[in-house]
Amino acid sequence: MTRHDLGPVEAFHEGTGVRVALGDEVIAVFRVGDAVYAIGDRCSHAEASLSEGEVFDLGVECPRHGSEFDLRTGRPLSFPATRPVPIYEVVVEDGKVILTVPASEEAVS
Amino acid sequence: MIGALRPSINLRSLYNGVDAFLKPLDVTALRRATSDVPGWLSELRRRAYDHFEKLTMPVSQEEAWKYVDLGFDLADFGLVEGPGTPQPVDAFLASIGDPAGTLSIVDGLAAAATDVKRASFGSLAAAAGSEVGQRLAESYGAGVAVDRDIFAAAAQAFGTDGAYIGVASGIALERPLLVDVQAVTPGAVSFPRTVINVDDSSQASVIVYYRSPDRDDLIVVPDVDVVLGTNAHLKLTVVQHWGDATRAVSHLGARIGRDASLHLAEAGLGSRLARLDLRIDLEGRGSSANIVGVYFGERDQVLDYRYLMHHAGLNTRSDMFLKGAVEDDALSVFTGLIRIDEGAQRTDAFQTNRNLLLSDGASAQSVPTLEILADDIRCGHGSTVGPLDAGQRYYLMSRGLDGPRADRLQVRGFFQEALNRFPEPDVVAPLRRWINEKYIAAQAEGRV
Repeated sequence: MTRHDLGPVEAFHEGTGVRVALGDEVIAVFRVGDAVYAIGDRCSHAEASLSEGEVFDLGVECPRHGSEFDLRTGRPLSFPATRPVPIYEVVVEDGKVILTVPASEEAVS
Repeated sequence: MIGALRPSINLRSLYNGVDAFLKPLDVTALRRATSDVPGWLSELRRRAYDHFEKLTMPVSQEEAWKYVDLGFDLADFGLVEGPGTPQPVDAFLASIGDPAGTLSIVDGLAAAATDVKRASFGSLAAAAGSEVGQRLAESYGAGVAVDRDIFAAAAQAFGTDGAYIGVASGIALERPLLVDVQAVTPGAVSFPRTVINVDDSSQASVIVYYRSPDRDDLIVVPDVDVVLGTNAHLKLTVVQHWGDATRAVSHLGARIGRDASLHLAEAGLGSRLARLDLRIDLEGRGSSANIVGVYFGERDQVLDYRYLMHHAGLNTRSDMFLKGAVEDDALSVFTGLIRIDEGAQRTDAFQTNRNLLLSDGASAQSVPTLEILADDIRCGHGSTVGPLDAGQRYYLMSRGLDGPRADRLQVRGFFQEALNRFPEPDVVAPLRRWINEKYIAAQAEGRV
């Protein structure tokens, strides 16, 4: 388990995904109100960055083919995607966004 | 600072004409603009004032202003004595990582620029009196004829400041220079001018960002003059994000030297009315211009594009690719002219304007024109106006997307084709987000 400090929560704008690359792992971080969510950035259907998608309530719409993914569970809420994307533990501590990535998934960087 | 003491309400509703804190566009204002400046500049301003006095507010019966009702008189707006309170850095500016330099212009007056070692970058007024004054004199107002319209004349007569960007021979600036142009004082008219000089064998990238608060009734005439020397290369990105009560009439002109190139991108998103009068002169042999634009009009916005691509040199190349959408009762206008001089043989020129009509009340006028005097050239244009494609919608829905989502994908794809051609990748994500937000809000409110 590795904790990554992604900086102050104010730098994360509502409805705007932030793409975070940690070695080979690419993660999309979203702020919705006071909460933050982190899911795998790559859409499970085709090559597309979910951080560029639009946020609706607690879902993000893939910019390429329109699948919506639940930010809490990573599950697709609509076609064409059928498989979930990974989710990551992310919290706000002392005004900073802290992302925790499991050791097995972390690449050497 | 006087600006900070100004009341926030718009006094124009209380006074008939220019409010008490503002100075009218008259001979007193000219006197102020011509004192303590170099001789060439006061001469230029006096000449411009002569034109200003003769010119009148344009009406839509004139060909150059067809389709557009300006709905205001320049005489009802005045100049500020000092700049208002600047707006803070916003998400758009924050998205441009590591700019080579940043300069804010508030109500037409420049604030301090960040220090740029490899180029002249800073206040236009300060540059006029400095060692770069002579270079500035050669390019000041080069983009637009002073008698083009009353706005061009007023900008040269009363505009006292703006940004000067000068890149000397043999310099390559990799990161963009950022000019943050703000208008913040209600009832005011401002004339922020940006002059860009890129000398022989140099390259630079400039981002000009226009913004003002919503609901403030104000006028801006932001002109840009570009002069590119031999083998000079400029990436210029103009992002128009004025507040929803701002009316802006801008001129942008570029003179392009031998083997030089201009890659110009423009995004027209804000304002109540915004006009961009664009003129590119491909003077040098082998010069080229690549122009890409997006615009998105909503409510009763008017987005007015006038465009002249003038091929004067041998072997010149130009391409314009402009895509826009309108919803609600918005209007967009594109009139584009490619002119190829008799001597401009082996020209290769094309212009494309595609428009999406997202609501029944919205309209788009697209008038591409060619004027060809040479006989060994390649030249063409394409223009479309129409709604979202029902066939594509049907296909997307057959793949499991609901209707609104299918439409969003189409709008996104429509603009992506143009955004992919923008020269500065950092601006693409915020622009795409602004456009999508507008369309999503319209969908949520049932306006489209």
